[in-house]
Amino acid sequence: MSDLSRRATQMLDEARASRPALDRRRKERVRQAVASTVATTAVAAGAQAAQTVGATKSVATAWVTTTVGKVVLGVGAAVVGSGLTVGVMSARRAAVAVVRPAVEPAVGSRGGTFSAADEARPTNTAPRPVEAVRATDSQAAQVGITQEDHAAQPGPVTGRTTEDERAVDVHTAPPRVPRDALVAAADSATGGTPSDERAKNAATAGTPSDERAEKVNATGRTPSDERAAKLTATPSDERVANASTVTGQVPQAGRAVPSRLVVAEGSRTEATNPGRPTADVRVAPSRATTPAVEPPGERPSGERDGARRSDALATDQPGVAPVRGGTGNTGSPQDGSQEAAPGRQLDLPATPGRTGSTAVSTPPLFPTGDARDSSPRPERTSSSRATEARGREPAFDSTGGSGRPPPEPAAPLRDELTVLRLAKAQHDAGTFAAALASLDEYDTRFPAGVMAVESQVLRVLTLCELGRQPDARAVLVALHRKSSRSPAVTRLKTSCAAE
Amino acid sequence: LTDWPPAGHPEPVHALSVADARGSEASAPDFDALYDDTADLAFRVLAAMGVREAELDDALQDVFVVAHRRLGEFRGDSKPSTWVSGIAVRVAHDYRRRHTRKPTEPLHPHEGVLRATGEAPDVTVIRSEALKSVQAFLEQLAPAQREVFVLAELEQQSAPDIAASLGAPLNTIYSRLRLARAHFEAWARAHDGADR
Repeated sequence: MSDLSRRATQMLDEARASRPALDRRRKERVRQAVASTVATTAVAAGAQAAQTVGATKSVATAWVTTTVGKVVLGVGAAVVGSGLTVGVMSARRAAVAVVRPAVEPAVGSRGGTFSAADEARPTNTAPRPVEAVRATDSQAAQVGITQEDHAAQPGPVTGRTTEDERAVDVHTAPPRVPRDALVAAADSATGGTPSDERAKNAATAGTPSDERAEKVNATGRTPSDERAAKLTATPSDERVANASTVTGQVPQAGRAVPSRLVVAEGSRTEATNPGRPTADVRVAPSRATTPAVEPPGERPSGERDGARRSDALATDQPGVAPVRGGTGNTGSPQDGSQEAAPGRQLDLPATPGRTGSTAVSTPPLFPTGDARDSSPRPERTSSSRATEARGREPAFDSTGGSGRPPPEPAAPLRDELTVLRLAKAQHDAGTFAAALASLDEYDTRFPAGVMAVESQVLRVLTLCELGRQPDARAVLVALHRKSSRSPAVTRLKTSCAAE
Repeated sequence: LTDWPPAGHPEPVHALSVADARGSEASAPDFDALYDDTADLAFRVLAAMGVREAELDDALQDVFVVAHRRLGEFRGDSKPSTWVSGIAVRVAHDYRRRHTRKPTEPLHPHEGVLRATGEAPDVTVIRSEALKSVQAFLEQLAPAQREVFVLAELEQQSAPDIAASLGAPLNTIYSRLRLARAHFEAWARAHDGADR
């Protein structure tokens, strides 16, 4: 190593001697600053660790609480519903026992929950409700009861699910009900039951069989030559009205008995044996009472009094609400109590032209595509409902058919998710064309949907799977222009549209 | 921070004693002692490495925050002064790089760090002139050579210590020091010729 010259060494010595030094006050100030920084770092690290632990605990606690709550609520609803159903039936039987001698042989229709088979049973025989409690999220409660089972087991059949799931089911269930099967089931239920005579009486009392058939047509909402009944989202009262006819509701002396057993539209009917049709029975998500079909003015005065007495007796039972059909009420006593008031109002004579037509405009618990209008609905007759049902397009056509409903500007998020989940399921199942149709459905129904970005992302992926890269790229470009910072859009960087 | 160290701490003697509370090894030096011994050295290295006067306190604080954080890793393989000077060199490098990216004012010698020594005024002037000359030389020296030259010629550390503190091979340190000395020799000659 080369040594420095004398001059360079001298310069270094002089510079070294005059180097700046750290005075004491400055040194202590820096010492305190270091201490503060160290303490701040320690506190921040501790707080961050505590925050992380706290967040983890809170998430775990929330999850456990939610899960336990769901289980408890489900079990509680099932237990309460079972007890309520039994109690209601017992009270109703007692009411019948009291009222029948007084109103016999009064005719006409009146809201109630007895079925024809129930009336055929001796009054001292305990009803045997068949209940199906829904347990999963993906399927509706389907009570597999054949017509023979129904006849042999004359108690009311109650299917019970949580109401949101029922609302979803109405939208998503595939249309698999042949219309003639429904008609056959209706005929079998009404004409094949032991209460033939009562059916005849009911026909003379204002419910002709052709009207029932017309209502079945309204349920199917297709021309007679079409075999498959489309899944429709009719208003809940309409569904109950249509379904009650199918399930053997036979108007008879003193009452028209909307059954608690309701065949939902879109349920499966396998007519393997024309004489012995088998029907899967679903619970209609309706809280409305079943309207009876009766022309105004044909109801004798004594019938109304008898029915009122029946209601009064049923209401007097502690803890028992005068259930008039609509199984959605059986899960909660509060629902039944809420329904009692409109039921009585409908019995008032001040409502001409609505004798027995107990179309309560109670909104469904969860809004569906048809329930976007929250205002009270006007009372309508069954004929007007049938006409309206024929002319109405289905709110959701899972076949991706020709008719599309008009856009819904204020559709709830639940409907969006229903359609989008269907599209995602179809995409995951490899049915990309169907997924694309569902996405078209989504875009049509929800042009300004909350999940619009996700819908477009799924569209890009579906188009990629279909080999339509230019279309996928066009969608991606539009999507990137609109919301380029969305994580969902970022996911498309690996799609074919980004190539 | 007013409750630091926490109540009930066994030895709340000094704020920097918290270093002991984090379970540092027994071989690690006490942080207060380390600071007392090496703060002047770190300050000088920072100044010689070109950290601005206005940022010297912050840079010194950063040096000892790093030293506090890494005190548990210090195994005594080198002298504490060597270890701290290596940290100071890196912190100074970061400060200089920051100003290279975002220059706000030109680099300048540290006028403010000169202090009254109590010596004769002419001696003080001569030494301050020598310091300015060395600072001017260091400003035009390559950073790698500057680090070695400062530690070797101004702080008079040995080449093995410099290699340990900078984490560079010993021959590399020798090479850099040789080149830096050659540059300084040439610069001193030119400076003398200009003075004459």
